[in-house]
Amino acid sequence: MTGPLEGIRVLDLSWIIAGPLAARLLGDYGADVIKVESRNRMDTGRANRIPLFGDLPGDANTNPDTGGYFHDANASKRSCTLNLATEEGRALLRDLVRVSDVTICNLSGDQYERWGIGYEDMRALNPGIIMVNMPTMESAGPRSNWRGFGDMFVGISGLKSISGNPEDGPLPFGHQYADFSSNPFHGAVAIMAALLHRDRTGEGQFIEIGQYESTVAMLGPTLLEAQLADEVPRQIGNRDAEAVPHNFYPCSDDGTRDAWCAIAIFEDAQWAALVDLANIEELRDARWQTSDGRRADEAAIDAILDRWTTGWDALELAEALQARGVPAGPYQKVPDLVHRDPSMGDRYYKTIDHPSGREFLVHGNPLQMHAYEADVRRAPLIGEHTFEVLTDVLQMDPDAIADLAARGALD
Amino acid sequence: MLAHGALEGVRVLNLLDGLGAYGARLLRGLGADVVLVEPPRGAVYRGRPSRYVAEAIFVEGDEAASLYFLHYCSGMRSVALDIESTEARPTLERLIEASDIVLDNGHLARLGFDLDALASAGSGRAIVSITPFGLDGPRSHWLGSDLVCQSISGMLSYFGYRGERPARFGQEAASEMSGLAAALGGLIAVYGARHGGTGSVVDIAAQRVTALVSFQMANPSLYHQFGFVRHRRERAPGPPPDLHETKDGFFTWSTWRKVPETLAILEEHGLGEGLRELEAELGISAFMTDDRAMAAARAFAARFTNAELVELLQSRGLMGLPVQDASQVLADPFLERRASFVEIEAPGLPAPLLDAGGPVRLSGTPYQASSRPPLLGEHTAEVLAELGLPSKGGAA
Repeated sequence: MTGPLEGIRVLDLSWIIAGPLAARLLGDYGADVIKVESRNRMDTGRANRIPLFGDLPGDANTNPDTGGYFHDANASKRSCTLNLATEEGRALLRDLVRVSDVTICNLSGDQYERWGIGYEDMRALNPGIIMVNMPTMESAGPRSNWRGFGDMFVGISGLKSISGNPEDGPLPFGHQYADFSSNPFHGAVAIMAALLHRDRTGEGQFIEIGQYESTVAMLGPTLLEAQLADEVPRQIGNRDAEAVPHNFYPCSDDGTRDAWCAIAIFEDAQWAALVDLANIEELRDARWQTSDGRRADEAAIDAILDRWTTGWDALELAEALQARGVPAGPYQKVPDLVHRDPSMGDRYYKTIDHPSGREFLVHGNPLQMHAYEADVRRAPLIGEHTFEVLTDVLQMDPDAIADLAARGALD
Repeated sequence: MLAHGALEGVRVLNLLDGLGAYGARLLRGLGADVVLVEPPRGAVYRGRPSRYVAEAIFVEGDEAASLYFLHYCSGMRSVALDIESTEARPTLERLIEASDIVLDNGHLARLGFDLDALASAGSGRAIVSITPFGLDGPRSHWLGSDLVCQSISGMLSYFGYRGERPARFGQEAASEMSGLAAALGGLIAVYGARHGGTGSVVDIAAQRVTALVSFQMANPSLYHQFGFVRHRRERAPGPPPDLHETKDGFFTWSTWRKVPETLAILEEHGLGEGLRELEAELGISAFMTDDRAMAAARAFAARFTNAELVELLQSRGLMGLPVQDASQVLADPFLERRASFVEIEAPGLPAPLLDAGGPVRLSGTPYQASSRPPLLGEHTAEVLAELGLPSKGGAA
């Protein structure tokens, strides 16, 4: 294991996506991330209702090693099963805390306390520990046990209220944006900041990321705008304060009835280039050569562009516009990213061998560094490294481990 | 000067004028000294028009500050320097040399700098490039915008309905994610360099970062089973299945893994008739999406306000949160209790404005939400003096 974070040990006590992804972002770059988990109460991502392989024999719902989310969020980690319902399991967890740098949890706000390792306990075990808690709302207080997931934070933070078309109404479930952005990244960034602080001072600390609060930070200047605008900021589709036109335009059907190209005209020269490509007399209107003029007639321009783009393949249109210096991009779906986009494909996705003999894809680390290569490894099978962790990290002897296993402390 | 941030002593040079501005804001909040290099006419962000407020800038001249500038650049030090001019080159080189992390949208390469040389082994420096498509690859020269990045990354394929025009998500969702990734990449590279490694170029492609939203979907067996992929979702009358209309808004409520508890609460409110039999007949998965079960849940939600419903469900361990707009966020007593907001003051503002405070809470090194944007060039002399440069040095 090599990488810029070699030597950092992270105990990952978190579930589903936001916490696990924060830890995985570090594991790809060399941190030794140990997922501490239990067969008795598994990360619900492990036995996802929709598994990696739809046709595995047996009940895929209960197969702990086929969860799709799980494999993406827990790549590059080791799995050590500890039964934290037993005192012996909790004692092993405390032993691991003594030799770790970071712990991360995103369960109930008070879950650490329930395991008997609140921050004061942790600090007594390891003064330099960086303890991260990612509750939905708060670690302690009346909302410490509130529950939620990524899409709900998108709703409560205000992001949904400014997403989509004006006529859409509130957007339905749209994947879990907050689970891939605000929450895991704020977690990982805060860990790195705290590690640099510890280098300088020797001090660890407790880090809380309230997932609601953390996602509010993704609103950009919207909160400021809300205080000065005549009306509360709402969905305004693709209208933009700078670029005009700025929209998605329909392209030739790709079989899904959902083919579009995004075009964003920020400069008059870009407009001139688009008009040149389109070669439509109506678009040569002299008033539209400036952004003010285009803005006054944006709907009329969009209607003309809609008719023009309909005959184009979305990718070919984007290529033609980009060749003329116009920002544009096809509306892509995942199969396009995997099979059709030369910037993505195997430049980004990693092929993983599954013990069932199949292959599947996980996301690469989104950070690419010239001096270091992300080392993305298959997510661990449940308990795959329990013996290895207890012998290598805690220097336990095999008989003691067998004894603990027999008593259920390693379930 | 604020003291005792986690990143105290970490020096960041901010050359950003587009994608990823949040990364600089976040590093600033964590205690880094962020030097914003502005052209003599002022950073692009000073003049960015607002999406919802007609008046873009509240004062002209050195104090000019758009809402974007207030949000993204408060707390930074401003150095006015025309980096395009040859006489400014030595000053720019010194500013880079003095930095641990440089955040850049492509200016350095355009000016002829070799990014890898700037991050050379002994420098310990992270040169963080944030571009739409990355530094390498066949589309590295393509132009992007936040909308283009959302489009090409696949993230918009989860929002909206088949056949309807896609629409952007959030304020600038691809840019925000790129900023988060840039901050992380910069810190990982600096950490590595301080622990026996080297400096590094960090290549942040907005497309790659934003593509994270498609977690697990690269696998056909998963992609084809998920119903919420946009092109498999048809618009139907009424609110979508996961959104419940309450007395005063919309509410997201999930019965995921909590069907017995959900049945119990519906029964207590007289809405559970026949549901247990239905669940026994259909099994949990089919029951959760059955029209009769959903109708009972809708009737239940309609009896309450969002505030009542969230307390009622959460007190029973059920998962649900209200959908809020920006004004409701600002007025949320919970965030007020947590002192989540910071007041920003700037010349020309009719009154101080609230902005998001810290997204993370560090017990030993509190997040430093900043309350004032810099004037254009306010810190030019101060920063140049720290570098041992004459106060002009090509600075504007």
